[in-house]
Amino acid sequence: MNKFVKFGLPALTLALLGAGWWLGLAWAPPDREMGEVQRIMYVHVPLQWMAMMAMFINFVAAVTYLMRQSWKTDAMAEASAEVGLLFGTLGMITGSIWGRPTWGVYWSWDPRLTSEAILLVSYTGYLVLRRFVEDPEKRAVWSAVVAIIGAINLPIVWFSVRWWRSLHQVQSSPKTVDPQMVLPLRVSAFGMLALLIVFMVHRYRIALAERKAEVALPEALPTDDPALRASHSSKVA
Amino acid sequence: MTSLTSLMLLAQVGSGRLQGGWGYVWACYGISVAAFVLYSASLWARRPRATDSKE
Amino acid sequence: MTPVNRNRLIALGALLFAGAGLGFIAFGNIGDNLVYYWSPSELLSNGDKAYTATIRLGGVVQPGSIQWNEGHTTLDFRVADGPNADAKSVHVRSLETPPQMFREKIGVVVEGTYDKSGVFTSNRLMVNHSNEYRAPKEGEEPRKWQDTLAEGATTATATPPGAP
Repeated sequence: MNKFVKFGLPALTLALLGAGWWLGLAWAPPDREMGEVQRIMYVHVPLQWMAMMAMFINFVAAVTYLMRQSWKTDAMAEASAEVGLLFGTLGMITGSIWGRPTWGVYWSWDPRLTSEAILLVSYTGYLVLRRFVEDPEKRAVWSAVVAIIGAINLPIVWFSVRWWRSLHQVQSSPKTVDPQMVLPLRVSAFGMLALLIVFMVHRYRIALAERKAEVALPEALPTDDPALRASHSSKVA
Repeated sequence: MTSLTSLMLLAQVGSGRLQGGWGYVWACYGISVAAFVLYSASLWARRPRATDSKE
Repeated sequence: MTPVNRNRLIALGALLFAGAGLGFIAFGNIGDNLVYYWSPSELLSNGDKAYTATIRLGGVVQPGSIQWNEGHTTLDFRVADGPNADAKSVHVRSLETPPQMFREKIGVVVEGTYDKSGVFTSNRLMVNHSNEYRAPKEGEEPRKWQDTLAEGATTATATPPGAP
């Protein structure tokens, strides 16, 4: 792990999130109707965006693993699912808190909230499955299948507010949001992205180390280490 | 006192504007930050050891 | 079959399955069976079906229809298909204080029962926010008198109990 990832990225995360949240909490104006409560947007929206991004990375990693077996993509899939679930859960909690003063309820089974709940349950199931399968290769293949099928939740969650009638409003765009609110949202989103990368890097290293420990037995499974692979093939020849 | 609360309710109903609500805002940010700190701690606790001694 | 080819086949199968599932949800008529709320005109045209169970009704609060009885905390208003005065609407009665966002012309979803007298009794009143976020405009305050009233109320909370 190079120095930038180890120290620079966390510092950048703190700076961006700090700046974005300061802008959002102190600098940006309150909303005409929601007042101060609208400031929840600067944490809720970046969380949900990054949860979607992590879960999309999970999908890509799963497909890549099946196409070309590698413990790196399997470790990446594990890392992205866990971090995505963390962000998604926080996104749901903050959204629920936001719902209480604005909608009047913490929860309602509207299409957006329901599909989001299904999404979180499916990624929880994914991680549970990974825990229960002992054999690393079987685990990687089975969980990749679950990841690919579970990924259909992502477009469903995203488009749920457009496809069906819901309590949740449709996506905002810079046209529907005042510039003074767009800026803190952008900065916070980049801060959240940096945090996502920090979490993913560390979680990925943990997963990869676990995989390597699991497959430490020689010739048990294919390896990403070219040196080992070379020695293996020479043995065969 | 009851008349005061009902007066406040009367003032609120139909105004269409949220008054106050900082508590909800702090709850959201507080929960998120707390979760990030806890998750960072869990990553640190699970950090790979010995095998990656090069770094 | 080598494990690599087997995995690729598995990937193809999973992708096809996921794509088919997504297509079914996106383009199938699942939305027709999964309606979160009815519009006032749908409720009115459904006749007897609407009288039975707990349902949700969604629409816009008709301008000028809000009647708030503070003594009994009863709130009467009409939920209409749209903001126009001639839009079809349903009389809603709620026995709770509405969320602060509640106002004329805002989107609402109410949960409750519709009876034959033509009144929808709401157990749960939810306010639907739009995707617009705007700073309060200076100079332009369409509901100025209500704002001042609300501000008066907030100052009153700050004073100790018993004070006028």
